[in-house]
Amino acid sequence: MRMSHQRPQLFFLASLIALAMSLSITACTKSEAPELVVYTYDSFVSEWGAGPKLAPLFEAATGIKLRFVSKGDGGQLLSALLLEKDRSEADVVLGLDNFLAPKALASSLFRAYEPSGYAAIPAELKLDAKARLVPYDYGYFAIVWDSAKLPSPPASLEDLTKGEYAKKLILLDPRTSTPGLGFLAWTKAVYGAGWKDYWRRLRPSVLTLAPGWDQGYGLFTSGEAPLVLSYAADGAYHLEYEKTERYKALPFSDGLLRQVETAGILAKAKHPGNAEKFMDFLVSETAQRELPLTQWMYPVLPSASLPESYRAALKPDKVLELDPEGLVEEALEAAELLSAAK
Amino acid sequence: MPMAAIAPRPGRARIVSGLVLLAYSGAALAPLAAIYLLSSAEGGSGLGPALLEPRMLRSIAFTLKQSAASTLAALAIGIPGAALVARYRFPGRRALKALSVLPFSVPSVLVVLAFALFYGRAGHLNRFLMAIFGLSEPPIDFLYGFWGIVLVHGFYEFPVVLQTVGEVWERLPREREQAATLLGARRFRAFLTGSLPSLAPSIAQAAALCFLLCFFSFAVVMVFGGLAGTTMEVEVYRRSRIEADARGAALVALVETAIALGAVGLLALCERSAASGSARAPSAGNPVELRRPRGAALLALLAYALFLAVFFLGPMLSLAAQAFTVRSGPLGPGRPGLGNFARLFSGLPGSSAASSPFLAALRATALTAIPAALAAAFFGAAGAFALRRAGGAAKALASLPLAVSGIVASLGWSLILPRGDSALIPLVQALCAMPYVLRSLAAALSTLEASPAEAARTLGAGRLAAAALELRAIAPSLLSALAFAFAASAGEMNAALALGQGGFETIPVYLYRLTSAHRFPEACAAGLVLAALTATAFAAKEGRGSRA
Amino acid sequence: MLEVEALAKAWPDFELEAGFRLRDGEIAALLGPSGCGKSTLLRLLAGLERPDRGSIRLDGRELSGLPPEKRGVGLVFQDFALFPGMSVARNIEYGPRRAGLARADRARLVASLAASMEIGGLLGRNPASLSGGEQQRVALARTLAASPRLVLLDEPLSSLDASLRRRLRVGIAERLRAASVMALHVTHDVEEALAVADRIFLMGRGRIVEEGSPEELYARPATAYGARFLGRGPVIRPSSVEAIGAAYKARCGFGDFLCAGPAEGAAACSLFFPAEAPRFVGLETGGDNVARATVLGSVFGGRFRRISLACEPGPTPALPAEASRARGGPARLEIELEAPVGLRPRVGERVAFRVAPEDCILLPETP
Repeated sequence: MRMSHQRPQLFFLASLIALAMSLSITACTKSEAPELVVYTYDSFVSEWGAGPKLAPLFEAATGIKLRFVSKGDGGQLLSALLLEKDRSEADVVLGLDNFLAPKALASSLFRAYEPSGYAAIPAELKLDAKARLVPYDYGYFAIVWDSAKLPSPPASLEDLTKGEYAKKLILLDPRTSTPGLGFLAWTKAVYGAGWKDYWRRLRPSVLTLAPGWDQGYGLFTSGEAPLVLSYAADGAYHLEYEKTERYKALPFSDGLLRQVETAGILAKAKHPGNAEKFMDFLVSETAQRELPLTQWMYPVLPSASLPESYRAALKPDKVLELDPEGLVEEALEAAELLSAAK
Repeated sequence: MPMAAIAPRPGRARIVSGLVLLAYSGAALAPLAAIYLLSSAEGGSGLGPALLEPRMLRSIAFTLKQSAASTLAALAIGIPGAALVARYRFPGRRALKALSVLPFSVPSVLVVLAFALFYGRAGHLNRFLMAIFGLSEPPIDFLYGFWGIVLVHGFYEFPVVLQTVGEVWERLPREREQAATLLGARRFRAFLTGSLPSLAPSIAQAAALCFLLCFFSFAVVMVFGGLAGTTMEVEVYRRSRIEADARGAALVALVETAIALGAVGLLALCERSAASGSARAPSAGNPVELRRPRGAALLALLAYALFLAVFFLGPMLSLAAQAFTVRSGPLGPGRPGLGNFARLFSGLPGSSAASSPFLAALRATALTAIPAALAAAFFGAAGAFALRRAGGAAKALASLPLAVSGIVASLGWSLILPRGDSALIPLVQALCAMPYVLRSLAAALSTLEASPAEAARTLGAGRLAAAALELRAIAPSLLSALAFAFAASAGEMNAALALGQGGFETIPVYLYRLTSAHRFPEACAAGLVLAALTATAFAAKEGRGSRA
Repeated sequence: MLEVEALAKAWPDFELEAGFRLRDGEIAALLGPSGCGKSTLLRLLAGLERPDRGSIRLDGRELSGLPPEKRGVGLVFQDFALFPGMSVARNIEYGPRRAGLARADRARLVASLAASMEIGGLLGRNPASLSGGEQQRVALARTLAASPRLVLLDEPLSSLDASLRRRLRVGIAERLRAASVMALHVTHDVEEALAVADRIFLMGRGRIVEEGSPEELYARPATAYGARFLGRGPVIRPSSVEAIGAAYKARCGFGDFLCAGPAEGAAACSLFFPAEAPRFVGLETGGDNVARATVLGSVFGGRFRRISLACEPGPTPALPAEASRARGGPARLEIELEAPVGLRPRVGERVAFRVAPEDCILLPETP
């Protein structure tokens, strides 16, 4: 059946081009056979994350080709892992924090391994005595303050509930974001069973519950509110890249809650030797040095040097910790408390 | 009324078109199947009763409530615009119609920022009003409340209404209205009896589309929900991200899709009853008669333009302003400049990459969006032809994928392909865009008279050549669908994020990375580039001529 | 030669069944009221619809089962169906293009057809900008350009005004004859069919009721349906029919008439006489074949006067069926006659007329 009109032929040609383009996508993606597969979370593999910095360093040091696979954020990372179980092609899992660690350890998917340099890591950062999960960096949740928009910042969690801060705080939703959950844990650590009452008192101060850190921080830097829940090292970012000390993390008298990120080797890893080398690398000076400016977290190795801008990063006097048991269910309650009808 | 289409050859053609439809539905619903398999696997944590608990029901009720209110708002803003666009010629008419890509191509994180920048407590509008009237507290304070959601959704989605209804309206034959006027009806009554019945299907369609968009809206509802906002997606997120429970997330996703299916089903019903009761359908062959506005119409146009310029362009321009504001130095609000764009296009300082990652993202976007658009257009056209003689059930089947949100689809695809596969991104994006293409092409086809194609057959044209002739007749709709599919695919983030591996990032993914790395001004710049890209495609299509 | 045998298709409302023959070069008219199935028959012949059973043979080749593009049958549509995005020239050359004719040959073909249709000056125009008559000629040219063996025309003139119709109908017939194709011209306009066709097929409720040359059909319709549709004259259902030798006496509500009729089945027939047949006589005239009536109206029709009459009851009462067919009150029969122009009856005047037995005929009703 001959088509004498030009249009169908054009379409055909266009379809061929489309197919060619589609196939060329595969060429764009790096497709060498890796000798080590590391599962991690989104921001680690991003252009500004630690991944792109660490991979070439690791390869230069050991000659092992490394591939990072992002599974989403921390929680999605763990749920993917639990789903895949033994079928997973991961050798190392990097990015499970202290909130997710108990569930991860309970799955018995990890193999114990103490990397060289493990002894130098401070004891309070080690979540697992058996070293199935090894910490590589840590940070603190903090309220970050826009000094240009608010003259007098709060000095404690209780201060936040004061009338002068009405609708001046951007919180993150504990149901959908890790820092939001961290804030809940923070209030529990400080107030114990009275945390519900605290959240009720906090309600007038909260402008909105952002679903994720990016949304919340975006609103903050746009000037919508002068206080936001974020991380203690944020001040360092603004100093490093924007040359400003306008945004500061606030030192609260109650202390700050710590978040520790860990990595671990899977028991069923296909390249266990390479995985061990990676763990060694991860807590070595070379790697730890890269973390502050990419992860905006503190390296676990005390001897690792911090960049100049970290003078603006907050290191709390008092550090809080919390057992994450039952936290997830309470997240629902917390959000409800904030949204209860006025 | 168009006559019955050419009698189908028993067997071959019907089988082929049936297969096409089946393949498409299967591919589009595959993620749902994967999710269902996951959710029903062993180890489920008794989620049945949990789904019926008051919390969940409340979130469903709230989602439905805000969707309904937002849809009404979008209709209220969009229909007057459609009226103006359908009857009058004025500068900027094409730009107005091109805005309808907005909901599909601008990532929601930027939409939230845009509206906050303009309507927020420290936003431009409040600052302006406070300066003028010497107030100490911002007067516009409802943004972070239910009406904030309605406001944002209304302005975000009204272009869809404007485009959908306007396109039908401009081709409506005027005789009915004129007949009514001659019989003594006043203009508004003439409109009601003459044109409204023919417009009803397109209004219903626009409303249903807006409803679905609002239903799946996540960031807007959460941020502007006034602490009471909660959607079903929150449950999906909670279970997958916080609880690390993929199965639970899958089950909630299924419930969400089921409810959306109900909405899609309602849409099909609305359309069918509206179409059967309507007057003569607008014909593709009708010339588009536009007049210059005069008198009352001119005033209405100016008022509408002013209204949009302030309340709609305001947020968009605020976002653009952010893109052009370079932040540096202590405490300063930032100077206008191209620094963000420069940083965007030049990549990281000291980076060894030959080309900047943003250019790579541009290229990646082109590599996915263009094939996706072509595939969506091709299969959408084939599907539209196949569905012409199909019953209502087949038509409903073709619209099913509309009920699958981007989050749910990418959840499903990541289950099917845990390692991800960038080469499949165009396919998944095409599947997402296809229902829209198919519906608009099917509508265009239904307005065609059957006789030219039949004439072609008697003159020696085979089935395919006759179909090509009809395609040519609906070429404007086809181009429109192509442009839309391109814009939607370019702005699609979920599949690109879930399936993209090995450093293959499209612009929306890149934008997401930027926002996760503190780099909001650059994110605004990237968003501006993306919006410009998609708007250009749409404007180019309009420029080709909207005449049949 | 076109041979259609027992071609049938069932619809919810009625059933179509037809069989006929068309000779080479013959132009036939398919005449009938709206909804009788003529367009459907065309579409079946063109291959746009599929029949339930039956065969269509064109020059000995079986067409049923072939798709439209392989049949060599052209169709001129009622709405002309010109391709909107193409110029007139491109429209006309569509068929030859599909057949693979070289560009130069196509151009020549288009030029010659356009010349014969007198649309040569319109070749570059957009079809939407043409008048109805021009579009019609373009449609015909387009169909003929594809060199079909059979041309079907589906009410090609019905969307044009009366004077244009009258002018164009002759032109169509001439062009079809010049192209020496077989043609089937569908219309509901009796005058058009009579003017255009070599043969007329009269259709009613899905069946071909009568066929014959225009003269035959007009002078002597063979069925009551035909007589009614052609508007030849009054058709009345008699109360009873009595055979008298070789002839019959039909007793109708308004008089008894001696008439001719078929050898069998006369009882189921209706009485018919041409409208111009009655002669007006004196009121006192008696006997068979005479009726009395009151003038209801008189319309000048050019060469004759059309007179509507309300007939008075005759010796035999009217059948209830007949009474119901009459407009107005019960047992009142209204008929229309053609009278010489000179006759000027006044409304309300009582007149009498006589119809010669050789003009009266019993015609079968078709089921």
